[in-house]
Amino acid sequence: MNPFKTILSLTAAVFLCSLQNAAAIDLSKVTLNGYIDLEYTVADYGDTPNQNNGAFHQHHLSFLLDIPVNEQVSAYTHIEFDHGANTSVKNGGDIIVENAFIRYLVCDEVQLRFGKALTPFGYYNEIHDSTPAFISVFIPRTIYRVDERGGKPMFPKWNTGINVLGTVAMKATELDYVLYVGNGENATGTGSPATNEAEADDNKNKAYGARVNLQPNDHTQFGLSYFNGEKATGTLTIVNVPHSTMGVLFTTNTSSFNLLAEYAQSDVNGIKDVGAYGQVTYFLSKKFTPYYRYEYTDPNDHISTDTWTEQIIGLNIKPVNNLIFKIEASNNHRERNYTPAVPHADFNELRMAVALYF
Amino acid sequence: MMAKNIALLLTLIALAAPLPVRAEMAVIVNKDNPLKAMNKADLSLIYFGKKKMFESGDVIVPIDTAPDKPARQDFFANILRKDEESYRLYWVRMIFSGKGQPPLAFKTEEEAVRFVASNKGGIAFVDSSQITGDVKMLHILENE
Repeated sequence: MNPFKTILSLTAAVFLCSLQNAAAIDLSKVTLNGYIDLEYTVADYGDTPNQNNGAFHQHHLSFLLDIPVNEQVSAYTHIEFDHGANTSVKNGGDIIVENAFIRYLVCDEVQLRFGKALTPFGYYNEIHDSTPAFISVFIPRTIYRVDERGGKPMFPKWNTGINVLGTVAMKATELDYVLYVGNGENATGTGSPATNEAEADDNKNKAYGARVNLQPNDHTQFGLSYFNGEKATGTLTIVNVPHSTMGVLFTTNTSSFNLLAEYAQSDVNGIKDVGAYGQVTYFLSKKFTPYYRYEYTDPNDHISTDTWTEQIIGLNIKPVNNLIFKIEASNNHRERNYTPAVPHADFNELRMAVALYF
Repeated sequence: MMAKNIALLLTLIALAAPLPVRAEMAVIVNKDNPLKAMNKADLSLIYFGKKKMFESGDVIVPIDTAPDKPARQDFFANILRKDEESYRLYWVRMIFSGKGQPPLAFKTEEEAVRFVASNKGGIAFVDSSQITGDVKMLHILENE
């Protein structure tokens, strides 16, 4: 069945049910948020398949629903229409459930999440596609999209399982934590493991991890993230291999500047990916925010001279609340042994985006 | 002589004119809330969505109000220690990572007072001149 028809049917069914059970949820307490964005990229490489060189790209259309069922229990979901989703055509984008979980507030120190959630790793993964929530056009490809840098993903984008999270405050110091356990990236049988990103596993090895952020004062934060699981590799015969990743984060603010830096190292069956970046944001005015980011990726420690570095200089313009224009210039340099999967040598891109959120 | 008279007249007018009343920012809760005082750090945690329950177990419903009022400016400067834009961006990040919703926003302090009066978990910051007998003012303590 056409996915659009399925979604429409489900939406209609939910609507009809809500009419019959109008007292079930106070609709005035349900919150709808979302965002839409449009990107345009020009680069100094030629046209290649699946590249957006010189093309407009309606990347995200997202709807987020926050549904309080009672004071301590709520449902949260984030549905994304990705890449101008039109699933009836080749490369026509996707409809993705980015988050779908039940929240249960036990106390300030302990909250539970049950369902599918973006893996709590580092600064960016939980806002992976939420363009209004970060300053650049894309989140750092190093650490978060190492697969686009010739390496293997450092952790699955999602975790389907249980999260325990909370905040512990000690005087002016805050400690936020998340612990999670969910399906691993392992699988049995044959077929491409690319279809299994922690959606289902062989039940033998669950993935687990944690993130701890310590904020000793209003201006500074230190973070530590860890992921551990087994990863399915191979195409015809699937082999599960150990996979673990450790990441550290530091960020500090003044009234004029923000500095954000992260480092992560992933180990998939003895092959290590390393990623790091530093980003400086200057709060020039309420409307104009320039930024600079330097990214470094070593996608495979068994191959020498295969690093990829990227420098980005950009500007955010907010003419009115909730509307953001982004423009950035990116310079990419790869050493001579970059992975053959990457089609270009050094290149430059000029990226522009406009994002509206509500 | 004329100049002296004018100066005297202006002085008298200045003395007679009522001074602008600058009431203090006050934090209010429901009258049934047993809480009497709260420190600045806890208040800040509430408005950053990190403290969600009172010690009594009631779920906290924080209220944001009246963007142009001095009470709000005081609250942002002295309790949250964030400017308006940073606070807004913080909540954009929280919303899009599924960590909750920002405080309910009312246009006037009167609405905020009425809400707190009728909701046990309500908490708001208003100009102290707006406080009625239907709500209770909290003592704000410095962080230890």
